[in-house]
Amino acid sequence: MFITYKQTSEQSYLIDYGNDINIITNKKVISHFKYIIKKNFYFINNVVPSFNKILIQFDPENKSRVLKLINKLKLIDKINESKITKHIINICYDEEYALDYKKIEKAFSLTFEEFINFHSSHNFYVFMIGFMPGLPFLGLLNTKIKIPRLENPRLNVPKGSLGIVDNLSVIYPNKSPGGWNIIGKTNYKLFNNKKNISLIKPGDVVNFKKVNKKLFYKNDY
Amino acid sequence: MTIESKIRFIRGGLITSFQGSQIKKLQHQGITTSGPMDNFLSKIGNITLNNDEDSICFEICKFGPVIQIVKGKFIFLISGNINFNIQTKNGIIEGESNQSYEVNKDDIIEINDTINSNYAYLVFKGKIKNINDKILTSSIISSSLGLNNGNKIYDEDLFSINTASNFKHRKIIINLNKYYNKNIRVINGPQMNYFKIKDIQNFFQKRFKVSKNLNRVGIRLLNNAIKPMFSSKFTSEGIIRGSIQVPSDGNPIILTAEHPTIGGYPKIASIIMADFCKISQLIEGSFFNFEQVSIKIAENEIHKLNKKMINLKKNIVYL
Repeated sequence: MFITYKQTSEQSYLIDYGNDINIITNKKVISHFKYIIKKNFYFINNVVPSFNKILIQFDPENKSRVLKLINKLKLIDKINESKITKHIINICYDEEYALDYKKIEKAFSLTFEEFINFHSSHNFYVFMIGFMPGLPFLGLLNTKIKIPRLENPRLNVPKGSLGIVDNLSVIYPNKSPGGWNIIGKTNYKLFNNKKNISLIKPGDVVNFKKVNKKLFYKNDY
Repeated sequence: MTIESKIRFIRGGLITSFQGSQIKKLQHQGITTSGPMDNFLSKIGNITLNNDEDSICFEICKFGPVIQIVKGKFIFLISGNINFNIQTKNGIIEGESNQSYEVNKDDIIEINDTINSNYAYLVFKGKIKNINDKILTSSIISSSLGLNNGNKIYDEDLFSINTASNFKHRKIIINLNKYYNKNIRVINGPQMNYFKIKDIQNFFQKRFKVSKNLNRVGIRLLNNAIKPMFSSKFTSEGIIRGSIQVPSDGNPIILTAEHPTIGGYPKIASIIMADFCKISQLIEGSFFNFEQVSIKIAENEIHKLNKKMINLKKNIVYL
């Protein structure tokens, strides 16, 4: 299922499944990722799936075992469709939280209300979790309009902010620096600090539901 | 035999934190590896005290804590280039790095500033109570996760320790200067072909300067901008400690202990594991060079370093 692989350091291999960001390629990534995680190999320190790649970080004393594993992955060419969890996430798109709504209106030539209807009509696929604990990368918005990252990233994006860049969306689980265009905010819990697990997983599906400010405050942090 | 002791931080220091082994198997949840910035020094300290080499210790950044022994005793060693003294009823003792000390109730350890370096390690005998986490084995300050809930040490923090009742004091004889030169070896990064040949040449030939933006997440470099040709075409992927990312302004960022788990900038090179301790200790304003080496050399160097660690006990002298 993968196209190529490369040793990128004395402790890592990067397996490449294709150039584009698309769901079919990512399903191959997630399928192999789940296989490796399930086996819990003692010589692997970390497995990091992304849009179209898997990074394997290993103990350098066990390089030959990792190569053996990669050769085995070559033979696993069936996508293992595991159970998909659907998450419905309430978003308040009020101007107070949609810090970049004017930029969005301009880019899409829509009112922000029209954009919200467009954005929340999608089923978002979870490509990966990363950057910080519990942050999901979601896609794909059905558009070819380019919305680049902010030229000057914010030093403090508020916790729970929903951001977009091009046809991708993310939700910030915590206050953080960040360069995504912010269009709303949620109080949905993304990360369980006690169990150290992300509550949204790669391969899951996310729907956004617009809620008004009054209801949002009622369930606010 | 162990006895229960208690220590109080009269002063927390600039950024003092608990660091043990690197966190494993959680990067896919967005949890970084963390651990000591200079794990060569922390290992030397732990090995000297006959601890497991990745035992939990206090990482001291730039300006250290002042610690009072409230109950029992505290057996410790400080690894690194740092000023410290021990204040007892009988007077003040100027501290010496890589030598064990025992302090008792009401004694004070005053740890001041690092000398021409960023990090030092306060390593101790015994186990801190109520902070041990078998999964998150270090503090992640940037995410408020891990040991001590990812908090740095604050003034007036109190910790209980089960410590050894008997200990044979010792020091380790090691010339650290030969390990900490300013020649940082790297291997080619996965996106080196995103850069012009001239810029790649500059990357290896011209000196970089460590900027003031250096911490446990990353080290920003100056003095030698190398702009990627097409950074916008790059899709985010997993990253490791030591990766060197180049954002569109051309000033590289070395990813350090608490690096994000996924990065969206092209990586021109990766620092070899055996040299990571060197870069972590370069202070703001330092100039240094990158040297290109093969993966084979990187593998040999880490094998050599691991072997050296095993043989380190031969350098211990009992006092």
